[in-house]
Amino acid sequence: MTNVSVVGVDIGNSTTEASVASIDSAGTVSYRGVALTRTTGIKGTVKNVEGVVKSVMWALDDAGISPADLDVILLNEATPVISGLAMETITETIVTESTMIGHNPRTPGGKGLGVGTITDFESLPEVGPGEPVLVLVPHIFDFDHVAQQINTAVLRGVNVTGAILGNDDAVLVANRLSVPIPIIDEVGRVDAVPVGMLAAVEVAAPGQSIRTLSNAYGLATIFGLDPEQTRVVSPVARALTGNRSAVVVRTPSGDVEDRTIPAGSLDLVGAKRSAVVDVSRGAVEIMAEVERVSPLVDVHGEAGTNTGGMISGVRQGMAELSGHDLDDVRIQDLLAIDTHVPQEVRGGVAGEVTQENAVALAAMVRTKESGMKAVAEAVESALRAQGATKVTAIVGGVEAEMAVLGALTTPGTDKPLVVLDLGGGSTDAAVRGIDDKTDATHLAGAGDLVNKLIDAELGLDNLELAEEVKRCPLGKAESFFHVRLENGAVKFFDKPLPSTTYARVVALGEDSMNPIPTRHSLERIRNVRRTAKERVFVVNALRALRAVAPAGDLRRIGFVVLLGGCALDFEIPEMIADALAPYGIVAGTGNVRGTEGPRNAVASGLVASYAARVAADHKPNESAAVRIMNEGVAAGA
Amino acid sequence: MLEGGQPQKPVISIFSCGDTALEREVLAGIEEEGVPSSIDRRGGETHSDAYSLAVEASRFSPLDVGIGIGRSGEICVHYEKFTTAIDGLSYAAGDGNRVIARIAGHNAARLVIGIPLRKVRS
Repeated sequence: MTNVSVVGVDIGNSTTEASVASIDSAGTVSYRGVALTRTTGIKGTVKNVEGVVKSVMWALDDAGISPADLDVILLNEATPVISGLAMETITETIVTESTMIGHNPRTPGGKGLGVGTITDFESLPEVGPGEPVLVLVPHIFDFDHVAQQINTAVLRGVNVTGAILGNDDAVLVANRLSVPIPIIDEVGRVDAVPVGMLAAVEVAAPGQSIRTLSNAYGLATIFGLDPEQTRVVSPVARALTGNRSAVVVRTPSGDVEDRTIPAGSLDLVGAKRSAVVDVSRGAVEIMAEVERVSPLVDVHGEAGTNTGGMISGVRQGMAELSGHDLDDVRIQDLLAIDTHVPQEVRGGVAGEVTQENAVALAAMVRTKESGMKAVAEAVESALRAQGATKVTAIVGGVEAEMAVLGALTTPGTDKPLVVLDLGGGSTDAAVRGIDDKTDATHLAGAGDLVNKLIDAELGLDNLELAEEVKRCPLGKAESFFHVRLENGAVKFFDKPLPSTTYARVVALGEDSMNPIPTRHSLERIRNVRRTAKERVFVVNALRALRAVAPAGDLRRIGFVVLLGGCALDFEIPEMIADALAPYGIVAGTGNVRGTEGPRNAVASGLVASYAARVAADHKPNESAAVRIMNEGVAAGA
Repeated sequence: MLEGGQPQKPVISIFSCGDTALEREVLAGIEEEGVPSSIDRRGGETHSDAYSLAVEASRFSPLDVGIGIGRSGEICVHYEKFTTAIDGLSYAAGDGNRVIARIAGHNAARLVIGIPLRKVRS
């Protein structure tokens, strides 16, 4: 037999890809089949075998080649990196002693501003005429009864200026009152509202937002505050901006703290320099320092602070993942991103939420020598057990070089070429100059970090849904029969949509539709999605290119080919292309061998490099295989 | 020749064979959302299950949304364009029915104003 059947296998962090090809003695490659499956275990460990065998069997099946005819399996020398994520808020709003309450129910009642002493509903009959009171009504009372009691009190001359309800009854009560007052409802913890204190309720007309309680001087006027106290309450006013309704209660001892948690500092240790940077200064400064001290050797967090907790959490996770000692885990790259996280106000009474500043960190750890040779041996025996009796497993090349070789099969590409592999855990870049020299870099932060940002900023608390939001365009179910997509187009359905999607923003997958259970508008969710992608992928693309470009000059790169799962995204490639356009770089999603899209680059590269060697020596396959195996091992070491 | 007269008011129609306590809650739910409604109490006609009543009510309603309250306390919200009962808009009779009746009212109104529906907490 002159033809050799080979299969190139790329074990990635999340997917394992296989490419089957036949190579004739002249080194001409004809690709026969491909397959893709989930990576089992951590890349570079013997646990990978299960996924490798599965993908090889599928690819052989796809190619119509019997396992018994398979001669060679080529594995890549995996990049020994793993990555971890952490996120921590650096500001926090605490309402102490239940002072200031911002609350925004969907249907408040009445309109205007009411100021008075908070009075329990049951003691309303005891209030004397002329006193300004705000009535506080617990859940147990019916709206008819409430309205009746307030009307009676008003008749007696009591000055009822507003009401705070536990139930969702504000409109009902307002409709039944003889004198209109502003009413706020759906206050979850009526029991936490302090009775006997001076308070103000404001409800704006439909389509308007409150004016007085969202103005620091408005609050100062109502409560007679001095300049120092006004300074203290100003965060409250800011937090209430844009609401249709609000309650503010002032107790003498209480105040709201808009405090900055001591975030701590990061100790960045570089090869030549090191730096200490305070996390609360924000991502821009952290990243500037990271760049200044690069290449990073390790990162430490200040002990006893949030940052310290974050870094040690990442370390711990990575140690468990890789099976290394905690001391052997060294952070080699760090990506910091500023973000806003909705957080429930501590001490609030109705689940009020404020936007707090947070920092997200992605860290990348270089693991020790990967065990690819052991994997190759295990794969060989597993495949032989599956009927591929004459197979030889070879570690055929270093991942970065193979990726470049595969990417170069994209029509329209040439050297100097940079491959950007946008994965789940890390962004990897490899450059191949005109002199055929390959250089590579691995950066922290990729798809998983985007998921985390989307999840946190929208307050979803559901990473699977965040993944859907990242992957799919948005739409809004405007009726039970049509969805308006984010670009304005409309999609119709024959059957009524599920009632859970009605009037909601949905992430529109190929054949699924996931409602996003928040009050965020479509525009806001779209904005969060796009900025998350920009802050991770565009930032990392530029960082990666600066790291691998000749003399750090982006203009000396001709072509950038995007690979990996995130290169299939519907907007990331164009964002990166836009960002790179000013440097005169041609950037786009790869199309490996003109057919495979951004997939299978490494697997194809393995096959191509093997074929080149076969052609180069015109020798019998067996000895070539042995020789390449030795070279592969040498290259990996 | 065209006949004169009042145009029909935009209301959600409720056809009910059920308890007045339930009717009150349904009406309250609609009112809280700020949507007008009208109720028609039915005796022992042939169509007395919630779904048939709701279908009939939706055809009668200028807003194309109807609610049926069955004799045993089951409630159904219907939009005229639906051909079957919709999951999440049909509510069985049972405990806590007044709370459910309120939610049914809210949801009928929300169909009209186009905001996400409320779920019955189990």
